[in-house]
Amino acid sequence: MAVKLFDLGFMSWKDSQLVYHALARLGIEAVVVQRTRDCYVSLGLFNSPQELDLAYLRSRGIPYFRREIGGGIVLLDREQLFYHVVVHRSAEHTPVKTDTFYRKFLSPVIATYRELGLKARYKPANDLVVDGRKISGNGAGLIGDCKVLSGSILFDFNHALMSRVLRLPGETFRARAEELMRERLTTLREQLGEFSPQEVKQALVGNFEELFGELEEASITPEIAREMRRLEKKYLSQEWLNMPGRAARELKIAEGCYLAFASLGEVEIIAERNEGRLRWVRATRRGERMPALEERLLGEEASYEKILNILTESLEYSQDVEEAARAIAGGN
Amino acid sequence: MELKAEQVLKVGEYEFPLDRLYYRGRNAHIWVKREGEAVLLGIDAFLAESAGYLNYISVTAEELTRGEAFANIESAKFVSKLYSPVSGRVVEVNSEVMENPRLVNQSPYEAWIVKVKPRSEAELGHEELLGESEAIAAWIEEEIARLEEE
Repeated sequence: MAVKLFDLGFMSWKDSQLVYHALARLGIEAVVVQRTRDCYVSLGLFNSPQELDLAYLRSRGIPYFRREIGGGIVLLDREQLFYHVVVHRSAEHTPVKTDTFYRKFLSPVIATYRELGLKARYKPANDLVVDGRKISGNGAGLIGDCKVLSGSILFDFNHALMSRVLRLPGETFRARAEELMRERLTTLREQLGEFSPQEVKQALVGNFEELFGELEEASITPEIAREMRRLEKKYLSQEWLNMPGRAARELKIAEGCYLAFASLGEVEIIAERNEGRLRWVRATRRGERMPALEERLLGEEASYEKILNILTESLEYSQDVEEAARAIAGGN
Repeated sequence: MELKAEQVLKVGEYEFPLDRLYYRGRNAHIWVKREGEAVLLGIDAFLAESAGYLNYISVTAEELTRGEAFANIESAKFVSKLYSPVSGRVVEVNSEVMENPRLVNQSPYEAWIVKVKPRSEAELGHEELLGESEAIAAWIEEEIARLEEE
């Protein structure tokens, strides 16, 4: 049976998420292309709402959604083209290995960027980058018996708002987070200036047809609409939205780029870890900069032992120093 | 296929200790090992490798139903589900694995996820639980062939 194409134009924020959850639950293999009318925040299944500045979101009337698939927190708005790929987990065209799954179903997105003249490439786990800068983020997972890939082509991006909706440890951290997002994320607007969203969508659909063969045009049937409304009760319930998630120890900007925070009482350290090295450091004691410590940390390999040595030599040893070294080094 | 002296079946690069059963229903790749009146459930080597490094596991059910999801796992921003081979009640969750899910990748047959009291002995006797080396090998060879086609 042919994979269906749902070209849905603009949808409400919640329907833009509910639609692919419903298709997957109903076992309908599909490529969905659409945009959202409203600005909202989408959490991965394991994110915690504690990572969001909920008071700010409320004050701005920005809702949030917890999707049933992976990936991190994303800010979504009308300046993005969403694509959702829904395939049965046991279908011949569905790879078993996660890495192969991403490579296969992101290839039409890469081809689309290339048609637009951008040298996009895949960066594991699931980023697409142009000249080292992220231009598309993706999440995926199993819903019912279907594997789902969900991502977006960024026409434009509100970096300031993205850094604002997150609950971050202070304004210095927030300012650096915004700077880093501008540095590490790019958009079609920035790369191309002028472009036609309609042509981008047509190119994307054409490239998915290269992969799947001709897609069968489809629209939301009463059965799909019923499933969306049924799922809405679950996904918008307080129990689902407020489900506890993993404790966020750092802010991920893009693959390989993290902003970490460590507090040792009077001393606070913000460190940017980039491809395994500390590329930017801000250390303060009671708000006063600590240039000697910053200099020692800057450029250092982000290994727990090395950072622990520096902190132990620069500050009085305590349990907090070990925890700080672990926070700054992250998983390295 | 090779059966080693210590009763570990090797199929391709994957090992399957024969002191336990393997659930092929829903292609779950969950192993089941008896421990007194309870059983331990974990992920087999094939799933541990094909999923990639696990970043997170959460157990989502206390009462398990055979063939239904009992946990979510995340690796490489992909959230997948683990399906239970038995109906029964979770009596213990391995907190060490919850803290450090990568233990599953490092030692899939040591890093059990939940301990379950099966509803009845019959839960361990259904046809989708494989214990014979020939049956396990035939299934895994099919799975490897799928991987190679990718």
